[in-house]
Amino acid sequence: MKQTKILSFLLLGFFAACSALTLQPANFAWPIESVLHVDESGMVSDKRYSFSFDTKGLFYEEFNDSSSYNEKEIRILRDVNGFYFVTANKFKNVYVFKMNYGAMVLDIKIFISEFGVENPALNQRAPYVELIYGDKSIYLTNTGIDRNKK
Amino acid sequence: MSFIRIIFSTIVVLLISSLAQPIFSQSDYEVVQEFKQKYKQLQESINSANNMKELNSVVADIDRFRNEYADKKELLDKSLYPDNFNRMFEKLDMAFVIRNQDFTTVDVLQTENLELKEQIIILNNRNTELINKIQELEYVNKKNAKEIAELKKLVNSLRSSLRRRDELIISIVDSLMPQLTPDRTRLTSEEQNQVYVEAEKNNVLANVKKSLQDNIQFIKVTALEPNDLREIKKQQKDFADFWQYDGVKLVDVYSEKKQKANEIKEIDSLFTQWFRALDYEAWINIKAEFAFNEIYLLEFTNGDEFTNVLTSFIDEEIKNIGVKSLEESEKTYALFTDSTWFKIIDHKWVPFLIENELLTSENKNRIGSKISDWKGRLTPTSFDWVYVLVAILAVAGVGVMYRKRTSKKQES
Repeated sequence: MKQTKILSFLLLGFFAACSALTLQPANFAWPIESVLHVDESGMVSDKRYSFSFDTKGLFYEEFNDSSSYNEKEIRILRDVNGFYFVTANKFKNVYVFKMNYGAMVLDIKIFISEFGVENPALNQRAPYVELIYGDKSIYLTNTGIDRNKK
Repeated sequence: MSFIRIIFSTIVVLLISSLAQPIFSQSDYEVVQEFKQKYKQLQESINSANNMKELNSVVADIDRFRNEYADKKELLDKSLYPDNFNRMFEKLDMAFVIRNQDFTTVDVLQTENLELKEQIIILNNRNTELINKIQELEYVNKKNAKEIAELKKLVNSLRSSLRRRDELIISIVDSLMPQLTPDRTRLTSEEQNQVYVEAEKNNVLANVKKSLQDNIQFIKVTALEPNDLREIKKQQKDFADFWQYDGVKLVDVYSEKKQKANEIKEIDSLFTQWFRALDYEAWINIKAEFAFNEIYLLEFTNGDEFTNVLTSFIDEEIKNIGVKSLEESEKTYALFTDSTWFKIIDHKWVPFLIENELLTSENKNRIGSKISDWKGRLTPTSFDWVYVLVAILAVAGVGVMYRKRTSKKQES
């Protein structure tokens, strides 16, 4: 009995030492989207949030054409959980990225329209991200479209 | 009937909802961009307002703008980083206040200019009256101390009045001139036009001319002491400095207006006359000081002429020693040297003449040595008797000693 107690204390101490420090709650939501012009090398950069990344892969994924980024602009918004929602005019999808060691890694691709969205805009409506295109408005999370939210 | 009403109501609801949809689903980004754009337009309206009326009309626009975005305050607070909604309007209000102060300052300056202009008119009239009165008193014999005192009082009054008017003219012109920086020494054509209009409104050229003419007249009608002339010299310097700085800009302003350009030339010539009048006044007064002591000299208008006239006069007097009676020669010498040269000219006028480069030290020394020579030539006649007396005493002394020596020899 005594041995069991000592073992359980040791195990508790071991697991406590292994779990990462977590600071909660945290809110990563940007108040408004950033509209970023893609430069000739396919890069976008944002002064306010001080970040930049290469968009060539994104345009290739969307249009199967790596040079289609020319003269384009993308719209990007970070939600409360820290996911980056990215879309652009004529995109059929909204791309949800997360950060990982100096890279934007695709988490999910949310399909919106077969014909591509016209003049899209992303609004912060925590905990959702509102996508407006044409006269339509839908609410997104990092798992997809939230059909219940009107 | 009720069916038609239902259809009509449905259409209205659909229409409203279709209109409301884009408003409801407006992009936050677009809202913020629109806000920034309208904000910039209001800032421009404030900065470009040409008068108080235009500026005040912006107030209503600012209020309307604030109300229009009041319900978006939360979004704007977050999006306008590092500012926020209230801070942006504080900035706008501050811009309004600053621009408002500009107009208030301009209004105050315009009012001040108007007051200055009125004061100049009053001073112009007053100065003319004073000059006339002084002229009257100078021409009639100054019979008593009361009249002399009145004249002095008038001269002092006129002097300060002229000075005050000069200062007013300088103030007006200064207020018209845009401040130039060392890297921008010329006015733009827009500034030139503005200065021209304002300068014409304030009769700047006419007033500068009138001021110079009165200053010249003042020197002409008054008998001034070296200290008075020193004060006027300073006034001349201040006014000339002002004219050198602002006058150059006025030349630019009036370069296209031929008639006015002539007026500028006239002003330049009046400045020269004023400077000459002051120097001439010094020579006239020095001549008058000699004349007051019955030493009548030929005219002189510069240091060399002055020295020549004085040395010639002394040479003439030296020549006349023995021709004129000794008493007469001594009297002239005493009047020239003791009563005039040493008492007044050397003591009061020579320092003024030298410090204003009207007379050189060499000239002064020449006159001094000539006076010594004159004194030397005038006194030998009286010295002769001293020599004779000394000789008699010496002979008598030698005679006494000789007699004593012979009597001693005889005794031994």
